[in-house]
Amino acid sequence: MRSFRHLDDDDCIAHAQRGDRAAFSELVGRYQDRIYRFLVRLTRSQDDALELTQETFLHAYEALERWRPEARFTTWLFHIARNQAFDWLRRGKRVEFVALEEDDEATLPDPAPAPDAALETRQRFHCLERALARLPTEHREILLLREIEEMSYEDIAAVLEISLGTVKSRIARARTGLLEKMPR
Amino acid sequence: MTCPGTEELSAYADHMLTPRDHARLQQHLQGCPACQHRLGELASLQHALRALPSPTLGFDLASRLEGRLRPRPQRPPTRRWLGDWSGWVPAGLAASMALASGVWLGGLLLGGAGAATQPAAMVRVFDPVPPGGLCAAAELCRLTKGMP
Repeated sequence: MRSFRHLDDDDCIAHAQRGDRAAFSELVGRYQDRIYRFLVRLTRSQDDALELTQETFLHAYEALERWRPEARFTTWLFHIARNQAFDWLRRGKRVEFVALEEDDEATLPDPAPAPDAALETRQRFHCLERALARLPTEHREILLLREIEEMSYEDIAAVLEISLGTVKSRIARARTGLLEKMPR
Repeated sequence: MTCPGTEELSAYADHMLTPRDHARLQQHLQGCPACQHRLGELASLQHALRALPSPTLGFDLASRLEGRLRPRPQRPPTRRWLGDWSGWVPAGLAASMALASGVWLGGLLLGGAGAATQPAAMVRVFDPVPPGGLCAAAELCRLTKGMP
């Protein structure tokens, strides 16, 4: 099977638009984990995030004809993912948040070598994840886009379809809210 | 300068202030421990969030989606150097060959071949074929001159 690893996103999309599903599979491979980690923290549910990640890429595949090179593929994809999540949340399909460390020990890298340090690090991560989960959804999503996905203010504005001024003020309020929920 | 609000400090941390406002706030920070502390909290929070382990799917999602992707019509890439005329080349070539063949055949019938065959003599091909023969006027079918 032909490899598309050497092509950039725009070239892969061009091939996918012409009917090459292998090119689209390459794009899925590049972005599946980013979309999943965004959705799992946004929805606070691993099962829902898995389903929504699949729906995001299926929706993107159907909408490929409408994508134009003027738009960044990343922001376009995250825009679809975010809309899928909000539709899901509006339909009331929520489940309780499952702490990541209970189910993903095999996927979480252990940053500390010593047992006590590793435990302390895990506890710190756990507190931060729980504080993040308790934020209002709009504050949580903007922090995920800014701090985890490291998007620019312009890209965030495009994903969320809000103004730059709103991005600036909402990020500030989200950070304040998260600091208040962190243990001192 | 009075202490900035959280929004201004947050934008400063993200380098999203105008150069003038950035310089003004930077000067204020040099003499304000309270704002330095608040900025430090924002920076620590950002660092902590970026250090969070990333959950991953752990499998190839594309293979799972394969059966759910509807086949798209295959479209060849646009050949810009031929423009919109690229589809006409094969048809034009065939038409030219057909025309050339017709002109050549017509030339044979009208005496375009080198052999000096009177038109009236050509009707002998319609005479009765002798037993064992293939043509009533076989010599007329052995024309070689004028063939492409």
